[in-house]
Amino acid sequence: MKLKYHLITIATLIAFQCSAFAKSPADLNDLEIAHVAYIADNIDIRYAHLALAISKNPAIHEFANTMIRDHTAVNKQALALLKKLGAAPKDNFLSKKLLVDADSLVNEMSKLRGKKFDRFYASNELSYHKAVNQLVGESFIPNIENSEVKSLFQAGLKIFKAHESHADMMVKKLK
Amino acid sequence: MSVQLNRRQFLTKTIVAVGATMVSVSPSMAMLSSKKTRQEHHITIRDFEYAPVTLEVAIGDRIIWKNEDIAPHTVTANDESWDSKLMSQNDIWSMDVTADMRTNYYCRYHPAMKAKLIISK
Repeated sequence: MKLKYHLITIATLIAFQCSAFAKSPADLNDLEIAHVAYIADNIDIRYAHLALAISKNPAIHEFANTMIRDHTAVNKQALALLKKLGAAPKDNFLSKKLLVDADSLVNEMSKLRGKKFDRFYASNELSYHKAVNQLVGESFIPNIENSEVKSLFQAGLKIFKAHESHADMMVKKLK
Repeated sequence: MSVQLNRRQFLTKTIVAVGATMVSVSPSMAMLSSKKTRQEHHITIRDFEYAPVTLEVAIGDRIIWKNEDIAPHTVTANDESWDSKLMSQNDIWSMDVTADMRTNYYCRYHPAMKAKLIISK
């Protein structure tokens, strides 16, 4: 159940409705979507740093370093684009929820060691990337209005799909 | 009059002699220039793929890789005998083809990215 924590959270968020804010991720505007993506990238970077600190598995370290490199590169590109557009990412309900859930998951993961940690990290990376890719592909990209932001998200989605495949390989190797 | 004819004859003979010499050396010159000819090949890294994924090259050719992706990549021989190290977006790396080089390569950071070179004889 804990291993599916993020998947359930994201699925809940997709169905989430709130009268005070956007009713669903599909209702977020471009700047709010950019903020969610930035937070999602930073969350995965945070998980990667935890993996580097706890795991002794070289394959986990290689994957974690790739996550740090790639998500940092995407964030750098996103911030440069927003600067060019004269805009700043906007906080929103979905970003807040992702951060709260990430805190809980980090607390759970940091208690694990050895193969238990490695399997949890790998499974979470697979679930997390699957959920985020679905969100980006089905809710965000179709609703982004600015063409440059849309192109960046399309490029980002290709990166995250490669991560999903890599995480899948890792999960299978750790079984 | 006889002097002018002699000059013409002299010039004609000289031109013919020079022409014959050029014909006799031109095959050698052609061989020299073909030995020095080296081709440049361009491989693009885009959408987590090397394009073209298989490339035929000759010894002495130069291969130039360019990373067009946001994500950093590498161009690394399977046995790590040659390695571009980290290539950020728009970075370029090149290498000359040698007879004994490893021809299969991949990206260190994204192991599903693979490609190969075929060295023609």
